[in-house]
Amino acid sequence: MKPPVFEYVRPASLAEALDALASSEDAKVLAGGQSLIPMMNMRLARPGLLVDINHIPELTEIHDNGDTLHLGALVRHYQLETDARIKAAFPLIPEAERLIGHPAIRTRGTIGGSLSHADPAAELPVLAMLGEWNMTVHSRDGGARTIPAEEFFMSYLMTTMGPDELLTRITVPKQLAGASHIREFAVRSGDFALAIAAAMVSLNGDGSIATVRFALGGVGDVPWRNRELESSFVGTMGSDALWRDIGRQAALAIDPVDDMHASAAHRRQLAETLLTESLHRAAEMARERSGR
Amino acid sequence: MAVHESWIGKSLPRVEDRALIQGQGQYVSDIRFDGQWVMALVRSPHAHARITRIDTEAAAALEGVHAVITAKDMEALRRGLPDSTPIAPPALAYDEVFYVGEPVAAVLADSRYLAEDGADLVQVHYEALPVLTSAEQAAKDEVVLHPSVGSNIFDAFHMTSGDGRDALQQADHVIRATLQMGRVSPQPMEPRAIAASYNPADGTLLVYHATQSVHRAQERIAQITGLDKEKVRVIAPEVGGGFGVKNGSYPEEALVTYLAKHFKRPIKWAGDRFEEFLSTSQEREQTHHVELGVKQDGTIIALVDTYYQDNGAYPGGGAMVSRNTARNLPGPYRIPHMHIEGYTVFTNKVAQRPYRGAGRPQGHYIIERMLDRAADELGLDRVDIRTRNLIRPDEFPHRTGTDSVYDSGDYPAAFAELLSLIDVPAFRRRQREARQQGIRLGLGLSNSVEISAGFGFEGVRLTLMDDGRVMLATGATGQGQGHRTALAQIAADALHVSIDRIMVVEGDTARIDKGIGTFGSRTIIMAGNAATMASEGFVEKAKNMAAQLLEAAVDDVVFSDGRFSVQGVPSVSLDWRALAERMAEAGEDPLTHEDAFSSGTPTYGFGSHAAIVRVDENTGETRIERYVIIHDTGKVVNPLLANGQVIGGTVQGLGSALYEEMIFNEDGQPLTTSFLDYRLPGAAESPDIEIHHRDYPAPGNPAGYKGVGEAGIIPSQAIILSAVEDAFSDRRLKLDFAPVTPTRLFQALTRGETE
Amino acid sequence: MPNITLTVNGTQHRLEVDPRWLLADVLREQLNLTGTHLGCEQGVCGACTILLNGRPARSCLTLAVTADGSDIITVEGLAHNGQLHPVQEAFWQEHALQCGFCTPGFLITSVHFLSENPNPTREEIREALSGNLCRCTGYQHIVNAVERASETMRKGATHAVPQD
Repeated sequence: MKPPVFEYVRPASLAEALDALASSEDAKVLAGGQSLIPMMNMRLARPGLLVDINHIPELTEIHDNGDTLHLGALVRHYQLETDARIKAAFPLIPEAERLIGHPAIRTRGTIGGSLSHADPAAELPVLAMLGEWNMTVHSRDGGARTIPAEEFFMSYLMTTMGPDELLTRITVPKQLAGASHIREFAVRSGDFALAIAAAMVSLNGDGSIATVRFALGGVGDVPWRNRELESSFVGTMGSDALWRDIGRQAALAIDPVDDMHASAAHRRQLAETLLTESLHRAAEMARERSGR
Repeated sequence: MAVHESWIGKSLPRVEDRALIQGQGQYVSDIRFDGQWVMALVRSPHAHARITRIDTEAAAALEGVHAVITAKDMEALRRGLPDSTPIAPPALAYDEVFYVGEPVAAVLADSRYLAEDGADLVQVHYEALPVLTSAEQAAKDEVVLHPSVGSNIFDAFHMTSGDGRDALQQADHVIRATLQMGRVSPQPMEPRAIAASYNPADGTLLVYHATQSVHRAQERIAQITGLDKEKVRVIAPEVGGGFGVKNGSYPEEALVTYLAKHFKRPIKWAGDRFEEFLSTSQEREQTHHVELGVKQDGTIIALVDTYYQDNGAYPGGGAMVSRNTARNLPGPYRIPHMHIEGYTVFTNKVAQRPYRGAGRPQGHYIIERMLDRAADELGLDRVDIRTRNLIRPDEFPHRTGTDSVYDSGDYPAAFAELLSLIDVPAFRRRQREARQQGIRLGLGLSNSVEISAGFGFEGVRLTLMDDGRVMLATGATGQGQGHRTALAQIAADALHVSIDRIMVVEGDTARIDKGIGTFGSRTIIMAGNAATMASEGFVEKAKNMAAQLLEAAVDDVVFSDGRFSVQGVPSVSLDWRALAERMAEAGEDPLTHEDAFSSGTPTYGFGSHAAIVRVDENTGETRIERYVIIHDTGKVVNPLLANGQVIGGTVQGLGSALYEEMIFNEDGQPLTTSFLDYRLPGAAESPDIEIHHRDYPAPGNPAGYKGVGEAGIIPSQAIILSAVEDAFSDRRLKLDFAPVTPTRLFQALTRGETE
Repeated sequence: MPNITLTVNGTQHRLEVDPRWLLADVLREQLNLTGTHLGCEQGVCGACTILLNGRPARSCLTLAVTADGSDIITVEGLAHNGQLHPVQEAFWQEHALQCGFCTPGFLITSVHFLSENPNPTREEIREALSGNLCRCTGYQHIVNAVERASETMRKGATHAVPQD
């Protein structure tokens, strides 16, 4: 289990990195390497050129932009877990981070790497969908463009980024109202989850739903969210029965498949259970937060 | 009488550890010979196929690659490996491959990186053949994998006691079930590894080997290389866990040693985790069709069991596992009549060979699960049916009907103590209350006998070193058990010295001529008794030497408190250091003595285990809330180490009860070939285990030692399935397959498997 | 081949490395620090865990070349002047290792964990160790050891020399 031969470049600036990416048909970006290196060790990934972006300072920035937070693609998991600005802007990020792998993985792994890897059973893609994050990608020939999360994840381990494009910045809209919660089920602590559910709830003064969002991971090719279903609950009184109902409806709307870790039916039940719990907890926190 | 303190019985921290905690332990992967070549293997991607052509030119042309070897190149590599009947795998497959991962070509290069590059470039052409992935299907012999054996069933045996199957007619009820255990991959943290260096000048081969038995390896390597055994030195340095699967022959052993001699180049192979999943032996996979005849009150009348063991493509050592399963079927229970048929069957998977427990967990799984079934069907308490059938102390010696004679302990007393520690009535109340809140708790109980040793010998050689310390060499080759500490404790007592005066060397054929090895929980029983015996002979020789040096008659020399003195002249005495110095001055050869302990009598330790689980009905997750053990270790040398063995074994077993399963698809492809997919229990999933000792010295050996290495793992699968069922007793959940992973439990709960 | 600088256990090394070489292999084969073990080369088992600029990292998932300029502590760097680190001492006293292969990774993980959480519960310790696999001990004695080390370190007392 040793990586095959590759060309290696270590650009010092974004422009250099984009040049390198444009220069090769089979270039790969090395960020934290926590998914790429295992695949290279198993020789399942054989990039011809490895573009090491770890030494590009501008990709490490965290910037408060008022309504949004800009996170450089190289912001590492442990920073997402501990940075006060991030916690204030989107408290679900540190909460989710504690579920991601183990501390040693979080030392190296990056937000950009995790989103670009597009594992549907990973936490950050689910949060990106839930939080309606925007991905800024750059290429030498195409300049910059912004891809909303719901257009970013294409399929299992595939994004809509082109091969010469680099994810540089993630724009996270601050969570201004309500509260959010994430639950997942993994067989062992730190394992990839069999299913993930994240919910964001804000309530009106009378306890009815002002807004509700929910997203699921591990139940399909890409993280799952259905805005139409969400909006159908707006104005409904929040209650345990409602959370169960939403859980059930979401579980019916997804289309998981059997694999060796879980049957489709098991995943469906997990999604229902986790989402129900997640909504319940988010609503509870939303109520506490609104000061009653 | 000696006034020295006793080292035996003390919970001493280990002498091994100072090096290991500083990263100074030397494992085979840390060995580097000057000018060594590193080996990587091309392994079969097919479970069963004919090799039609192998192209090696591109690989051989790669810079840094020194040789690419196939079976065509060297006749010796086509021969069957030693120690395997009725058929042996070759070092390299030359015509047909029988499992995914079977070695087909070897690449020797300057580094592992380059060797893997070479392996990538070797092109092997295959023609797919029909694949067998189920033992019962293979047993029909529609396809016979090894025609020279004649049948896929390569080991079949019948065992009958009492009236056998006919006794079922005496029963009020016959409980029938088909019970299965999935395939387990043992996965020591250090993958298998071997490095060898040949010295053409004197014709010797030095081998560093992650093995559990240096002497057996030495014999095999002599056979493989054609060298005299005396020319082969095998050293097991630190070995990073073994659990049975580093015992015995593998293709890599033959390849590294043969090629090192052939090329006159040091060669090293350190397997990686993927190889450990593909090519290291596995275990546990069996299907049992069981009938248990019981009286209305739960008294066992007869056990009838026909089982199939999916042994993979080669014998491996699987027949021993299968037969040991039969031996363990009665557990600690009285079963007057038995009929057992065991079939060990070839399929297209990697071979099975003994893994920690080696039939003990399988046998106990069957009887414990059947007692649960019988209790449930008869409306009896699962506790009561066990109490009723446990063998009582007044029945010792008890013949089990499966070649065991249980000799010691008090099983009902231990079980009763366990029940009171758990407080079963209080648990039942808590369980009822929790259930009303939607929380499912379950209690699992299991009793087990650990049958250890009972064959062969183990030797100890003691040598007085120049500084007066004593070197204790043994062929028992530990893999982390702490023998360097425990054997030193035993010898220190016998020689009246502090343990820092004893240096234990295990696993080096140059230090002792004969040995068997460390497996089957045998080392303290065998090498421990040998250490005491050898010490006695060593002291006698030392007395002779002291008499000579002190110019006294031997009969007048007294050994007391670590000193040799002349009776009536207490002022003149020699301790070991002085003896060594005086011997050196006198030009004497170093004092040395070797003795061995042989015994055909096994030891019979006992354990009563209880597990309380909490099961999440919605997710299928099982967490262990409490785990209590009453344990009989016999005479204990070092309680800290003994507990380490029991806890470690128990948690390892919990893995195979809850998570660990090798899954193969219908083409025989193993799908769980990484630590992500094959889940060892982690720290967060593992419980704190309470151990209470009730130790009964073994009557069958002088010191009274019993085996302890496999005690913990025996009940694991039985007890957890039992506990999970108990959590759903209102739904009469029945589990027939271990492990009970979340998704399997979900299926059992939703597929109408509950009544 | 690129030249890199690594400061390992306080000593600076100028090294020429093949870009594809894993940091673990460079430590083991070029610097002869074989205490860092390779258990899975996939980042799961934790045997290769080192401190990289003060935080635990998998040396099997890190290319040496990308670690250029880093400060690294391996298991060989835990003891100072022959004095064992309190975590090492506690592992010894509590019989927290058997075969020892996973131990370097557990030690590094524990040292870092206790620096961030000096007074942990057993449950927190178990969670913190969940990224390191051990096949021998069943973890209980490792948890005991981390608990013991946390007490020693909180007291700030110099640790007792073990009986040997």
